[in-house]
Amino acid sequence: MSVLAVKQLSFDYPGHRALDKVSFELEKGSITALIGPNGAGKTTLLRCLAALMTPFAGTIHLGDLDVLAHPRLAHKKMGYLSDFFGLYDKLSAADCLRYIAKAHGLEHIEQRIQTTAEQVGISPYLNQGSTQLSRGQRQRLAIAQAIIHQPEFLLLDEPASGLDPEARANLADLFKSLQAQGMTLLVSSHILNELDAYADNMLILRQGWILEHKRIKHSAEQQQQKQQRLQLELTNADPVPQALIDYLHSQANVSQIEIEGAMLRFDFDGDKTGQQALLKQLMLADFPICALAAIETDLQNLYLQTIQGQNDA
Amino acid sequence: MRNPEFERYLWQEISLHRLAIMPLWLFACAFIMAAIGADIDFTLLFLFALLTGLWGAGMVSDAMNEEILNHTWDWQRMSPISAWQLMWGKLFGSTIYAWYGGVWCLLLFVFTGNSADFSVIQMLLIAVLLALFIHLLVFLLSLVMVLKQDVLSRQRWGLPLLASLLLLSSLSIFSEYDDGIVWFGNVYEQTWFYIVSLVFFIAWLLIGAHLLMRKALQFQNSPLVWGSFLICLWLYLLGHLMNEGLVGILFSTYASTAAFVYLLLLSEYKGKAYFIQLQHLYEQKNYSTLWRQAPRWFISTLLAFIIIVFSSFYVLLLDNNEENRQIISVFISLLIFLLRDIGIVLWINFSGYYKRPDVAVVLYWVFLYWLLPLGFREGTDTNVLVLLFWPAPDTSLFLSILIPLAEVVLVYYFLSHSYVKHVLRYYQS
Repeated sequence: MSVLAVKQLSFDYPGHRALDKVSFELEKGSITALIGPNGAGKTTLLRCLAALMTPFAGTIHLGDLDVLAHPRLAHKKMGYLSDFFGLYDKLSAADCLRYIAKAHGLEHIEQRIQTTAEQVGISPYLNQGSTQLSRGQRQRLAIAQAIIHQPEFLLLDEPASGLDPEARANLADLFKSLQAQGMTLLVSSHILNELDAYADNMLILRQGWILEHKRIKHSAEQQQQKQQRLQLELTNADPVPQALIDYLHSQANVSQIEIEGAMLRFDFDGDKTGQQALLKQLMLADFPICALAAIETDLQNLYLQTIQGQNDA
Repeated sequence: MRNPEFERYLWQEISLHRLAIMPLWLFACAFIMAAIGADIDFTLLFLFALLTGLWGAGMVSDAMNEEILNHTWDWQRMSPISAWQLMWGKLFGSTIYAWYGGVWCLLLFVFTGNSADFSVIQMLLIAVLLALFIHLLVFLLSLVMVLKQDVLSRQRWGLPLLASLLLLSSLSIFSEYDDGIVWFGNVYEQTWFYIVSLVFFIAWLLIGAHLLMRKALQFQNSPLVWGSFLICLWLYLLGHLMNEGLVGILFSTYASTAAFVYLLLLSEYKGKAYFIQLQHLYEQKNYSTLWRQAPRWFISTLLAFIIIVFSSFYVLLLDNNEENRQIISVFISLLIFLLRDIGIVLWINFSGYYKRPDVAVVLYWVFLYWLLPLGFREGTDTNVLVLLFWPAPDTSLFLSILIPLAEVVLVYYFLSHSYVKHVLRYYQS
């Protein structure tokens, strides 16, 4: 079931089209990675979705709600963290949250502050001034401000920029826990490895239009799947034995063979036991093999493949 | 009703230390001034003007600027807080400490003030209303800048000084009427009239600031409020101009409306996408939204047009003589010049040739209304060429209308080409 439907969205800056007839839908409870090069229109798209900027054409629906027609109603249902967010420097972390909670008209505010602070891991710092917090703590406080009203849909623009690896890992856990609560997330980031840890959908934006929007699979899912692309590494590539190529061609569960230097890549239709049987046959035939591994189709590879495919086209 | 924006300012601005330091500082100032023999009443009113008026205006100016510059504006726009709450929260919240100091000044003034030549109540009222007026004007101007998406800087004194100048000029106008002010034939005491006038303009500034805040929060406003403001302003001016004669009244009414057209042309957002949106609304026959989103300079121009048509018919009906026909020709040519200037502003904005189109517009106006007519007047014996730039009452009806009309045709020819080339084609591509 789609929670967000965007149709033919176009936005212009003076002399430059930032979004060009962008259309897509997001599944409820999904985490979508919004990726693309600098200037692709990611921030503009997020700000349009958050109804902070008005596109000159197109529609955005959050469930049944027309976001552009009723931006203030939409704001009750969504949270947004800008890439250049600010905090009120003269307030403590608790007061920052208290202010946002009051602005949203929430009830049981103190309880909500505690719950949200625990969720993002800033409970020990609630009484500190926002300027006394570290970069990572400020980022968490900002995320807390964006989620304190428990939105259905959360937009995050470069939430991990400037964070250390440990803080990034914590952030991934946080996003997964928000997803588990039923929240739908759209996260823009340049750090693809980090997105890979939690995103289950990928939306590639380039020069203001959607290049690709597809579901991506996590490693755990990849391990369960039947068809995988494998890579054989040979000890000697000069030349790749024809007998090996012929052998692979003769296998019913092998297809799409590709040779690059000392590497042989192919699609294999079978589980781990099938892979073990294949490897055993290859070793018995005494082919010069030093390694067999599955090629991880991570976000970075998918993104680069998509960009490469587009460039070739 | 509790206002989270106001509460935030209370948390930020008020502390025991700050509450204690303000009266101590004021007592010290008053004591020193009394010791050196200065007028204590004047000193306290001066301190009030300085603290609440000027310093407060700087704080109001910062209220919007800092939200934008510190990237906190998005939090407020993403919350469902109402435009009214946000407006008065910012207006009184940001200036709470300045008002605190001001109240101390006024209390000291009440206790120490023993001047017999003015009413204490009137003085207090004027002081408070002037401060409120200046705060509202600055707040409204800063909202205009935010809506126009102008680059803001960390300057805090530009808008307050501008507002103070406007206020001082209004004070100087009223100070000329010592014997009372005649309004719709009745004579009113000068100070009370000034107080009521301030209340009138403060009420409209409040309405204006509220509507601009609504717009900043992406609500749509009805242009009827703007039209109502102009009609109220006409009535206010009309009361003062009853002795000026019909032509004077009509001219002043038109001039005040046209002045707002020019101000709005410079201050309202004129992005290409906005005009495409308007065109889409027109093509979709969504006239109600089109009406709400129409630029306010357009609404003002419509009213200016109505005034000119009404004035022309009225003057002709009154007496169709040569003098009246010349008056009509001036009225009509004024309207034509206004249309020409609107065309120039839009053409400059659509063309994309200028980095700061509004600055270019002002330069064009300086050339068209001052430098070029001055040059032609010096260089030629005839004033026919001056008709290109100014309405001239002593020339024929035909020439005084035809010449600016030819300019309008030329400007709108270029404008339509620019619209097709730089706006329509771009958006259709």
